[in-house]
Amino acid sequence: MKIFRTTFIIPAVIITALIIVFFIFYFDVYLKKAFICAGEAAFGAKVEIGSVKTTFTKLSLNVNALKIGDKDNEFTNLIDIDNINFKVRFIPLLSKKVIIDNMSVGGLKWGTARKTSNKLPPKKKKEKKPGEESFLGRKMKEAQKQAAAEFNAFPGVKRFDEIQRQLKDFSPQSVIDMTGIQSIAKIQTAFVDVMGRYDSYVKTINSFNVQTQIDEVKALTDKISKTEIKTAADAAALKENLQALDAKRKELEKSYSDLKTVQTSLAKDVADQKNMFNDISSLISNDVDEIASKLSVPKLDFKNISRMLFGEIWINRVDKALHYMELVRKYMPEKSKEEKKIEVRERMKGRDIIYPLKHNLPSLWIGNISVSGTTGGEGKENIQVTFKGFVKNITSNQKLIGHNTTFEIAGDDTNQKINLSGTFDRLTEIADDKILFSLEGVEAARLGIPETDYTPSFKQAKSSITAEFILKGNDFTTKAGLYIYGLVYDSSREFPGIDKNISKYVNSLWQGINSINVNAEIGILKESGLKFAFSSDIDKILGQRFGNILNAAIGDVKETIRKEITQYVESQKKVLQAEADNYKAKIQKEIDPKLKDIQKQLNDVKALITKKEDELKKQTASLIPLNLLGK
Amino acid sequence: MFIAKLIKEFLKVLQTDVSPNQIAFGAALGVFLGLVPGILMKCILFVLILILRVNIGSALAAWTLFGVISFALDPISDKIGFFILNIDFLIPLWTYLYNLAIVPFTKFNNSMVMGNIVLGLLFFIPVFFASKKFISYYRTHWRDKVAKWRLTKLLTAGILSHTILK
Repeated sequence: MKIFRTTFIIPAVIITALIIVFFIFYFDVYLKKAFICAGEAAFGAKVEIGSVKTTFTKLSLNVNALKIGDKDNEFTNLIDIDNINFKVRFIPLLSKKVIIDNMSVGGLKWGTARKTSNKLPPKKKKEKKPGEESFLGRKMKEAQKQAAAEFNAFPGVKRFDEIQRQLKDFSPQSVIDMTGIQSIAKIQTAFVDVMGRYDSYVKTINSFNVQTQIDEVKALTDKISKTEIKTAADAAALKENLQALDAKRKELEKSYSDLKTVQTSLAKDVADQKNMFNDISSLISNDVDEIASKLSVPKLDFKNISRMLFGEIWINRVDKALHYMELVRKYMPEKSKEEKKIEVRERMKGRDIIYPLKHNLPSLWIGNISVSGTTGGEGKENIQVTFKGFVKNITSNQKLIGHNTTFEIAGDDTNQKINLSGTFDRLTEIADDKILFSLEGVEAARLGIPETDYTPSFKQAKSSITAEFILKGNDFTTKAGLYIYGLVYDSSREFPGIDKNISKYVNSLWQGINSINVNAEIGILKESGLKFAFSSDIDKILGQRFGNILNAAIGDVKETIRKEITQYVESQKKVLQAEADNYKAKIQKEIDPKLKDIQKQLNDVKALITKKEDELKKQTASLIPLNLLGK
Repeated sequence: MFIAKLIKEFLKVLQTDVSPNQIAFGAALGVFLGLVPGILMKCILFVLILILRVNIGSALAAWTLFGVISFALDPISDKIGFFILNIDFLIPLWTYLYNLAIVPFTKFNNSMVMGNIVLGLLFFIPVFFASKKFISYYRTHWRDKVAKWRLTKLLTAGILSHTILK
């Protein structure tokens, strides 16, 4: 008896044969189309594949000439790979697990030129809701906006123009109220004061009726002079007149003394005036400083020039790095499935008993990818550095294989060195991703630093970059060091359409700076938000130089102010001096003859009194016997 | 329509001279097919039925019959399966099978699947012999009588049989 049904087996064999034929001759074609469709959906640009070759006996796949277009640059490839080759393990594949022990990626290039457009026919894009963006993404956008705003403020040197114009066109008369200036106020007060005092002197002088006094003294003097002592009564009358004269003399002396005081005060006032004029000179310096401080000279913060120059470039690089790190996070999530012991799961129909898995494999594991390529390629022939390296343990569950994902790529040619390494660690509780990057000898122009009329040319400069990107949990930190050397600054160059003075300032700013060192740190932390620190050696140098330029310019303005104020003060001083001299001369003219007359009168009086007193003594002595006789 | 076709097939099996062994073996495999849930297991059994020279009609009839019965047997099969999957000395075997490449796809670790496999195995021999005996008895005592029924004629020899139920 036949056991098998031949009527079923023969058609089954035929169908199987047809399936095998399909896979041998047509599968590669459909697989290639599937790859292209999936790639175009993922990258949003044209994907081209030269050929796809599958070998079912070895379960290997070979992809040649893969080109993925860059959706942001129509005629540029994002990735260009000559060859991808790998072999999949059969048994895990039955459990829907893709295990690749070795994979090779040869001829890796990026940013290569395309001859045809990579644009896809327009598709309706799914709009992102505001809440859908991650914390890191939101903070990065903030940083980008900040950097763009700062960059737009550049070139700050343009403000030299404002400063220059302001200083050049500065007119003290137009901005200064002369009455508000201390030195002027002082001289005006002094003027009023001096005039007041002189008036009081005049009043004092006029209050003395010196002539009357002199006339009275003269009259008394004449009377005394004519008096002869013949009798005791004459002697008594003379004595009385002498006493009256002495009293008048004393009054005259007092007047003399008062006039002398006025004269001394006048002399003292002249000395005071000289001192006041000296004080005014020091007040002028204060006034100049005061007015200069009120000048609204625009502030130019050179502390941020490196940030303005390199901030946006750096932010964009960080944004790209963060984008790739977030992609890694997406496909290598923070928490992977734990290994489980026997477990019972209730189901609608029956219960599943889950037994422990030994040598459990993750659903994806690429053990080793050897990578080789070049930084050059079509359209980038001048920056060709060949590199090679590896990527190890790309997997959907690191805990199952006990290794984290690592990569290391190094390239070296005579001029440039490139190193890229990193780890994506999911073995610990908190996901820890780290990328280290260093580049040496790269042309600074390739960094995308804006060429402006206000900065040296970066065309011939070279640069070294070191960068570290760390994404631990949800905290993203990055540090970078950029060293640009071989800067050339042509101070003789002309700036079309730019003020000559600005050119002068720009030249004196950059002259002799042939290297720039920049350090940047960005932190996007869950707790403290966005932190952005930038420092550079040029900030200090340029700040200092700008300070010197500004001081020199302000010094010129101060001189102008000083000149104007001094001129005004001097004119006021002259007026005051003239008035004072005039008054002084007048007062002097009034006092001097009076003093002379008084002095003369006093001398006469004194002489007369002495003479008459002597006479009186003599006559008195001779009159005694007479008196005695008369008794 | 399906039921009419099924009855037609069943009558055809009973009325013709198909080997009782083929019918009985088909029925026994059909029991498995009816009891065991899961597409993979059903596919394996169905391919087995197609490859082996067993009676497909009896297999389909048994599949239908035990497919209905299985609903009533579900609570029992769940308990049997859960018990077997948790027997201590068998756990290493189940763990080993669970770690193999293809075996887990059979969902053998599901209590219902395991219970129904056990029930299927338990029913296999009795169903085989019972079917064989029933065919012999039927052919001796009932075949001629049933052949004269109008329904039999309608389903096996009438216009309906050649056109709609062909």
